Amino acid sequence: MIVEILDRRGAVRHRVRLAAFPATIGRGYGNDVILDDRYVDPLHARLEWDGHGGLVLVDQGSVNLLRDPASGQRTRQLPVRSGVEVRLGRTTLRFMDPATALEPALRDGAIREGDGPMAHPLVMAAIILGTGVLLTLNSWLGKTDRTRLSELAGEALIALLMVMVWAGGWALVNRITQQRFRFPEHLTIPCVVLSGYIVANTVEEWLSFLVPEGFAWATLIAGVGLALSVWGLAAHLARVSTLSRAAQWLWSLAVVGALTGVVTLANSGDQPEFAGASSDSQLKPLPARWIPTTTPAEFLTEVDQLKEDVDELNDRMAKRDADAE
Amino acid sequence: MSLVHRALRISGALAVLGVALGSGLPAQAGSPDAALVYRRFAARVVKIQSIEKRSGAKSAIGSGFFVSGAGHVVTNYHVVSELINRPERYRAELVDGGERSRPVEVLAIDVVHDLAVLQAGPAGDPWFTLAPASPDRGTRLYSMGHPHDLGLSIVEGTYNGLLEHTLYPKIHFTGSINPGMSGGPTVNAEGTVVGVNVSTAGEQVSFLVPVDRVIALVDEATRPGYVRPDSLLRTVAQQLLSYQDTYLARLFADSARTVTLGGYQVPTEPAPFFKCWGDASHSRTRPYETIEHQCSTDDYVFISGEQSSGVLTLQHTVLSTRDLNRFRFYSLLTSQFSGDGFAFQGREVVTPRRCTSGNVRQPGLALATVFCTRRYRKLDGLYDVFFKAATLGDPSSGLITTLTLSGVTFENARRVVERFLASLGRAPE
Repeated sequence: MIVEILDRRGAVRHRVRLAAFPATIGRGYGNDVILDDRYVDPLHARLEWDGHGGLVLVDQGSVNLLRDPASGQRTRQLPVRSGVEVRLGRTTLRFMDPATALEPALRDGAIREGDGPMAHPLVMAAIILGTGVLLTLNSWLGKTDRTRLSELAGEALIALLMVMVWAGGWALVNRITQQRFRFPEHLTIPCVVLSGYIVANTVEEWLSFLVPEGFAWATLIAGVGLALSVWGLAAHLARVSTLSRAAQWLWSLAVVGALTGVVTLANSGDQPEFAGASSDSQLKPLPARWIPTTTPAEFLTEVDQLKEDVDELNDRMAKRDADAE
Repeated sequence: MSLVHRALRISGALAVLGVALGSGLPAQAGSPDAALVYRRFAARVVKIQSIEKRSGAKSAIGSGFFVSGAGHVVTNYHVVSELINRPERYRAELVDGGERSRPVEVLAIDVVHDLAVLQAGPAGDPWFTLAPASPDRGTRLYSMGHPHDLGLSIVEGTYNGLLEHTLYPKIHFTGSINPGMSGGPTVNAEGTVVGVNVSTAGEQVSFLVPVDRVIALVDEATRPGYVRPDSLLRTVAQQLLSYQDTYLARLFADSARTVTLGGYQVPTEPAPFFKCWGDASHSRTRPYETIEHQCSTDDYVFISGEQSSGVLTLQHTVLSTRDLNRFRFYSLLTSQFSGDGFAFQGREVVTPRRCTSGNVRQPGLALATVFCTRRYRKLDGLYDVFFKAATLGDPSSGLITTLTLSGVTFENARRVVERFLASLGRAPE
C-alpha cells in the first residue's frame, strides 16, 4: 500500500511505501509514516489487517482522532481501500494500491492535466488576439471622427499593455507561491473578462434599443459584468494559491462584492431618488420595419405614469423634509 | 440676450454684494430737465432692501416708489422674491430720502410681469399718481433708482415703444439701467410714470414694465376688501398656472408652421413670441454634416434666485453622412441624442427627473422617443418637461429634435408634446 501525504489543494507532497503490516503513523520518529504536524499524536494510528484480507486504520487513542476529509466526521476505525482519504490532525492522507492503473504519458509540450482547456497555447493566443481585435473594432465603431485604424490599434495596444502589467503582477505572485510564472494564462484571464464586458455591453445596447422600457437591461448586464469579474479573480487565485475551489470563489466574490459596495455607496450618497432617472437611450441601425414600435398614443399612456412618479417623489421629499425639521 | 439679461436681473437684486457691472455710474444727469425732474420727484423714490433675519444684514437691494398717500409702494417682484419664497428667513424695509428706514410687507404680486405692491406705514410721503401713459417714440424719459446701492440717481434715456413678439408686454428704454435700480420709476418730464425699471440687456438697452400693468396691480391691492393672501407662494403658483394656460393653448395646433430640414418636415415658430434661428455646418475634418434649427421664447419668469420658469425651446438637428458606416453613424446619433435639456435647479426647488423612453411609429417615420419630467416642489401643479425624438431606420441620415417646457401643467405639456410629435414627418418628395 502506498500512503500519499497531500497538501491543502490535494496535490501529493510525499509518498511512503508500506510493505509490512501493522504499520504505524504519527509524529514520532519511530513510526513507519512520520507526519510533521503538531495536531498529530506521536503515535496516532495503526494500519493493520482486519482479518478478512482487508486493511483497517485504527486510532491509537489520539487527541484528534481520525477524520473523514469530506464529511469531517471523527472515527476510531476506518476500513482502507485504494483511493480512501483520511485526515490526521491537519494532514490529509490518501491510500493507493500499487497496482492502480494509470493513463499513458502526455506527449512533450501538451497541456498539463488539471490546467483546463484555457491553458492550451493556441487557445490563449486566440483569446488574446481576439481581445485586441474586439477592442479595436469596438473603439472604431464608437468613434465618429476621421480616426485612422492605426491610431485605434494603438489605443487597443495600450489597453493590452495595461492588461499585461496586471497579468505580470499575478505571474510574479504565482512564481513566489508555486514556482511557476504562468504569465500567458494570467494574461488570458483579463482578456476573457474584457471581451466578455464588451460583448455584454453591446448586447445590452441592442436590448435596450429594441425593448426600451421592457426590463432593467443595464442592471442585468451589470450583473453579468460582476460575474465575469468574480470568475476572473477566482481564475487568478486558482493558479497562484492552494485554496480549495470553493474558497477561491468565496474570496473573489467577497473582494468584488466589497469593491462594488464601496463604489455604489460613493456614487449614491444620500440621494436614492436619483437612481433610474437616465434620459439616455440607444439608437441602432436597423431597418424601420424591424424595430418594434408603439403608437404615439401608447407612448403617451406610459408618459402619464411619470406624473404619478414625480408626484409621489414630491410627497416623499416633502415628508422627509418635515421629519427633518 | 437672455443670459446677460438673466445675470443682470439677478445681480440687480444682489448689487450690494459688490458685483461690478459696466460703466455709466451714477448717471448722466446733465440736462436742466433731469435736474428739475430729480428735484421735484426724488422724494417719491425709495430704496427697498431685503434683510436676512438672523444676520440682520442686507441680502438684496432694489428701488421702489410711493403710489399713494397710504404708504403703498411699487417695486419689482424680483427685488422682494426672497421674502415670498422664504418668509421665515427674510424681512424687508424701505429707506426714504432722509435715510430713514421702516418695515414694509408685501401686499400683492404679479410674478409674470415682475411687479409687487408693498405696504409701508404712512408717514406723509409724496407719491406718484398713476395714469395710463402712451409717449411717442423718442420721448425723453428719466429713470430713477439706486444703482449698485450708490445713492439715488437719475438716468436720462428715450422711449422706444413696446417690444414686439414677447409673451408679455415690455417697454424698450434706451438708457443705462443698472442693478439696484430695479423697481424704480421711469417718468417723463412732467413726472408721469411710464414704466418700472426691470431689466437690461447691456449697452443702454433696458426694459420697463408698462404702467398699465402697475395700475392693474395697484388697483387690485388697494381695492376695498382686498385681503393679502396667506401664502404669496400660492399666488405665484396660481399666476404661473393661468399664464401658461393662455400661451400653451394654441401651441403646435393644426395650423402650425413647418420647415423642411434635410429630408424631414419639422415644426417651427409655434407662436409669434418665439425667435428662431438656424445654421448648417460642413467641415472637412468631420465625416458628417449637421443642419440646425432652433426656436426659443425670449421671455422667462423670475421666481427666485434659484429658479426661473416659463421658457420654451425647441431644437432640430439633422445629421447626415457619406463617410460613416451605419454602425458608426448611429454611434454619432446616440451621442447627440444623449442628455436632457433641463437647466440645473437645486433639489429644494424641483424633484429629481423621471424619464420614460420608447420607440414610436407614425406615418412615414419610426422614432425613438424620451419624455422626462420633474415637479416644482414649492409651486403646486407646475412641472418642467423635456421631450426628445430621433428618427430611426435611415442608415446615413437622422433627425434629432428636442422640446423643453418649463413651468407648465403636466396635462398641457402632454398635449403640446402630442401635437409636436404629430407635426414631425418626412418632407414631401
